[in-house]
Amino acid sequence: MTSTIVVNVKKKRITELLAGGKRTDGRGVNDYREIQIESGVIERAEGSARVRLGKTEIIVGVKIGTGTPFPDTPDTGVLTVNAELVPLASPSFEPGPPGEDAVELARVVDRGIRESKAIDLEKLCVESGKLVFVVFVDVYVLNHDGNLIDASAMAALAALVNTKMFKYTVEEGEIVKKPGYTPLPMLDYPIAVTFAKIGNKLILDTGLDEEQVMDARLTITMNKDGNICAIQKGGGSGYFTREEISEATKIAVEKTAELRKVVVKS
Amino acid sequence: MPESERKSGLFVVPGDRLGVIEEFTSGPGTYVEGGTIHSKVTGCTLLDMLNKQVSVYPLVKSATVPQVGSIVTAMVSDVKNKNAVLSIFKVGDKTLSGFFKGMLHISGVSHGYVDNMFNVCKAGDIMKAKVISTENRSFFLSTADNDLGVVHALCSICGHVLQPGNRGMGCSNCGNNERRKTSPDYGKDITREVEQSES
Amino acid sequence: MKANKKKPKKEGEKMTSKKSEKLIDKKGIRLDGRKVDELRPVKMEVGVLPNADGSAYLEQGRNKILVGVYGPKEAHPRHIAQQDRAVIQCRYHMAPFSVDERKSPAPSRRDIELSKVIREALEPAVFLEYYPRTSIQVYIEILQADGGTRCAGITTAALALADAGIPMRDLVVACAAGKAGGKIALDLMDTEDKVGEADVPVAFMPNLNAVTLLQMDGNLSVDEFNTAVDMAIGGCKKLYEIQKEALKSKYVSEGVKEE
Repeated sequence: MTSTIVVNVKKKRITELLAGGKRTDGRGVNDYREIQIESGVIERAEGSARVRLGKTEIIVGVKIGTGTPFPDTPDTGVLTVNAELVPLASPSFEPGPPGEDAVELARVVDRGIRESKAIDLEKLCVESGKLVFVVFVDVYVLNHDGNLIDASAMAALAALVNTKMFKYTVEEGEIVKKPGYTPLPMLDYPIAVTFAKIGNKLILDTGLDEEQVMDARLTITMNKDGNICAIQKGGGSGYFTREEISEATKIAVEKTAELRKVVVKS
Repeated sequence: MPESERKSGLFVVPGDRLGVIEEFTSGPGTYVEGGTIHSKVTGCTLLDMLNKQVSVYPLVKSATVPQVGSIVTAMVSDVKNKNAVLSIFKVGDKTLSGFFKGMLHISGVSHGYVDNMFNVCKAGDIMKAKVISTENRSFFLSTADNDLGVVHALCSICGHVLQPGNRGMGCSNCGNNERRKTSPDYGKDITREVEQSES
Repeated sequence: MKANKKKPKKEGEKMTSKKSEKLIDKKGIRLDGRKVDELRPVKMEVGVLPNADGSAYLEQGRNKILVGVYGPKEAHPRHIAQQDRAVIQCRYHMAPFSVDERKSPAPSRRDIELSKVIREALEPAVFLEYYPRTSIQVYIEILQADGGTRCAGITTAALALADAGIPMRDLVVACAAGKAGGKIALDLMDTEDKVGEADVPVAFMPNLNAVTLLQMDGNLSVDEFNTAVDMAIGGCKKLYEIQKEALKSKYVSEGVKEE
């Protein structure tokens, strides 16, 4: 329920608690909820992972297909990220084609993977200009309890790390499968952290109630060298000050490194 | 269920046979099909040997819709002179995953005379009300009983929470005074109520 | 990006050449080691989604199915509401990664038909007349498909409806039988379904002895058809026991705590 009055009542309480550095569930401002990662949960997909972040639950499946490359990048494989907010995950999700929230989620996850060059797409070219592999990353939200972006990005990374490609040879321009698998060629491991601004405080890993009252959010995706590869400001009518952005990036450097250990190890 | 196993406290699921109508009458949580009594919920059997009645005590939280007599919590979504439209989000203690639309007519507001709905509630208020009719495609509500009425309201000028005062409802922020038909529960536990409604 | 018609050859494709007699060997053992009248391993769990009013998860062989139920809630759009009863809005949907070749997440004609027949398989079980003008939403997500997903979806959806506390005449349980390798066999998996001669999905209310879904495609004699239906109902009865256990393991321990 997103009615203004309900949000106002909650916001008062959440803001009051935050002023004392506390959150409704007792976490500190930069604490994540418990993270559970399970890889290879969908055997039929080339790669898959289930991430539980508190009560938020995401499955990501990676499928490898083939297609023609884009004309401007004839020698690189294609990455496609899609997100489905399936209606069983929340009473606020409706069946139908992806809405703007789902599209934004998919594109933020996509940018993290693409801009960090996480996948070595050049190794996925079969025949220049004609035949390349297509990596489909499908984000499936199974239960929505806030912070879908970070959970989805983690699940996507865990699924890509888990992905096995079949070995193949090319005969007369066609791909012929050979026995055995190789891992997907990975060059980087991007991690997204999303800050929510409530009042004048920044917090990480919002629960659903915090997300409903936040003024704005800022997602920072960092690669393994601690460089920024994607940023998205969104999530409401609020704003960030210049100082807040600097503070967020500083925290993000530590936090992404910490989370990367959890995700890539799994 | 064989006769020897008939007793209270057995776990049953919808469809389980509980007996035949020659032996028992069908109590709550059961239904009769072709002379046989079946369970219609997941729960435990309750055998009343005195009245020869079999019923099922539900172990699942029951599916809830407003019924005549239900006390509901609702948000006011629209107010006209003689009518208010409310979105019911809670029935008794159970929070719904959706909404039901309810109607509050001026005649159902109070036992006394009320001239104008705007002196009763405003859009955005949260009210407690009783369902008095479910006919004609809508849930008709009443707040006439003493314990019913507005439980949470915001100042229509500045948006701060209104406090009950000597001259109706007062706003501590801008000094505005407004009228409401309040419940004695006004302001009490509203945070908890709202939070449950979201869970 | 256009989809390239030159698709990589899959291991599975060799089997699509008409060699269905190899699906079952001389001893009556199937590709996955089952006997003709044997179900795949089944696992069911109730109450797995915190946000939904009712939910259930099922694994049957490699099928992985998740169902969430919401409602009864006000019917939207309003014109779908019935004055004297609730309507069930059912969506059968396959995850893009649920099958070998990625499936577009947009609903296919098959998805739409299955949503309808599944709804009609569940409707007879639910006391719809208790909740006039409302809608009960049943969302079936196929996370991984390996044949017989419509049946597995029905079995899971019935559990989720029971978990939502919606009064029901009976549980609904579904299972398919079919003909593969010249023999009538229970609970066909994907390969058997695609290569085999026929598939007969059946949904059944065990206490009321009522069939609520029946479809068939393929080629069967009348005798073979009857054998298949009986075999499917036999499978339903076995699955029904697992359904009951799943509800029991969720609710009996909770019930004890309450007392």
